[in-house]
Amino acid sequence: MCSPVLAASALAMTAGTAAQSYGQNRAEKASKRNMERVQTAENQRQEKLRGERFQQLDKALAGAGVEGTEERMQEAVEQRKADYQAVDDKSVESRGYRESPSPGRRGPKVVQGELDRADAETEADIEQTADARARLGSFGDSSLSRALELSPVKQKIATSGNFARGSAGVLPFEIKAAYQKGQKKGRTARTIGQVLSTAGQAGMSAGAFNAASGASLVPNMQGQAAPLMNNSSFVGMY
Amino acid sequence: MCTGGGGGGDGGKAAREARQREEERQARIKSGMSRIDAIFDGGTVGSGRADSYDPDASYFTADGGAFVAPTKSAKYRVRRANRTSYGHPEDHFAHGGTIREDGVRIGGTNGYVTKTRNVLDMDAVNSMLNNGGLFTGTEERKGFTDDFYDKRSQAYVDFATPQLEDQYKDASAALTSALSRSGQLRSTLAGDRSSKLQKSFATQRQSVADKGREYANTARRNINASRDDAVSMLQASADPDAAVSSALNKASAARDAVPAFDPLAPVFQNATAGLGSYMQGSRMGEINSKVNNIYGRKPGAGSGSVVR
Repeated sequence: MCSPVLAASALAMTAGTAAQSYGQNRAEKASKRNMERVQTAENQRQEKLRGERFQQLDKALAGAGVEGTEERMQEAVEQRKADYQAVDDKSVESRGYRESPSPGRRGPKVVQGELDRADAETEADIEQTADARARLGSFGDSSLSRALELSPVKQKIATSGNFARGSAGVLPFEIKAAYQKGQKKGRTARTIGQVLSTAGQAGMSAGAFNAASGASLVPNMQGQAAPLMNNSSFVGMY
Repeated sequence: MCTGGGGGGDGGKAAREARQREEERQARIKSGMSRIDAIFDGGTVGSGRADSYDPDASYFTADGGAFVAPTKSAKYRVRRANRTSYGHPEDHFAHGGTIREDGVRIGGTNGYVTKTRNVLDMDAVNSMLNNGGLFTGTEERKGFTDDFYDKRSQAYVDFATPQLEDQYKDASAALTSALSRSGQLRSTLAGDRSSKLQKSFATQRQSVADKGREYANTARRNINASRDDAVSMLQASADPDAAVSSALNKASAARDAVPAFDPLAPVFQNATAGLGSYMQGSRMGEINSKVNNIYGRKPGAGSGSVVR
């Protein structure tokens, strides 16, 4: 028949194992929950930073494409022509010539007509050259203006990327801390479980020992079990 | 800001510290970016970094805005002067407190009341001080606007146009003189040469304008590169003071730089070219013509005679 010590020990062991398992389960669940919370917080931070980057990217894409380039080039052409006009206006000699062209103006009528025609041709040529020059330079101007426009966008995207990398770098520490914090949950149950298991194990050992010893014991005079020993000094007791 | 959990003994402390350091790093970079933007784009910017905080003094943020001291809610306990003023028989003092209509929390222990009030958040203030985000004054920065670059361009135009005009005057005088010597001053040749000179003059004026623009564009590129350098340095080091100092130095150098304009090379050398040969040719033509008239030869006929 099963001894009460063994039964109690077995019960204690079972309860201990269950308590330990319960405690461990709670700890794992808490760790998982904490880690998920940390991960979610990081995801939100990353999402916000990603949103900022996409916003900048949208800004960058707004002026991209042929239409945007052509528009900027046209602006550059107008700007260059305005520059030419400004220099013309500033030039005293240029103004002087326009107001009183050349000494040849006082020549015969035929010559004067020829001169007027040459002047008109010259004016048209100058105009055409100005237009061609402006168009020639407009692509470079447009590219530069686009590059300067994109520069702060690029810097903001890089800064946001820098923040994202920095923030992600902290995550492993937080995950580890969250896991450790979660492991504190169910500690009592695990401790109790451990104590019960240890006690149960000790009880089992003791019960088993007793049972094993009981088999080789003989009852003494008082009906108590006494160890059977080979020592002859004890023989007189019986 | 949410720090995303933490806790967990030493690991939790380390994680919290790491997150705090990261947030401070980001705050430093943002503060530096604001100052760099103000240096290059213009605007009001904080000046004179504050080392300590005096609650009675005024402070400013990196973007020049007035600093509003951050506060946090804190509880405090005071002994109520007159307990009976509430007068309710079921007075709450013995039963753990309640919240009055005016929002003051009344505690329930021995006539003490627990109230909440907003107090200065010194942690936040210290964090700003440590991150270089607090300034004692402001200054206005002009920034590198289109006006700045237009002046660069104009500086070259102002430099080169008088030289070009001088050269044009010389070329024009030389042309008039050459035409006059040849007696062609009132001729279509004079008109033709004058038109060519005008065209050349106009082209050179356009070149001056283009060159001015080139100087302005180069300045734009250089200043933008300086800004890129400052931002890269800031992102790598998260040290706004060093990055801003570098940006300021480069900006000042760009602003005060004396441009090395190349003097204008001679551009109207061909204004009178060919006129000498033309005159010589014309004279020779005239002489030939006279000789032919005298000897009854038709212009273009051979010089040999027919031997019968």
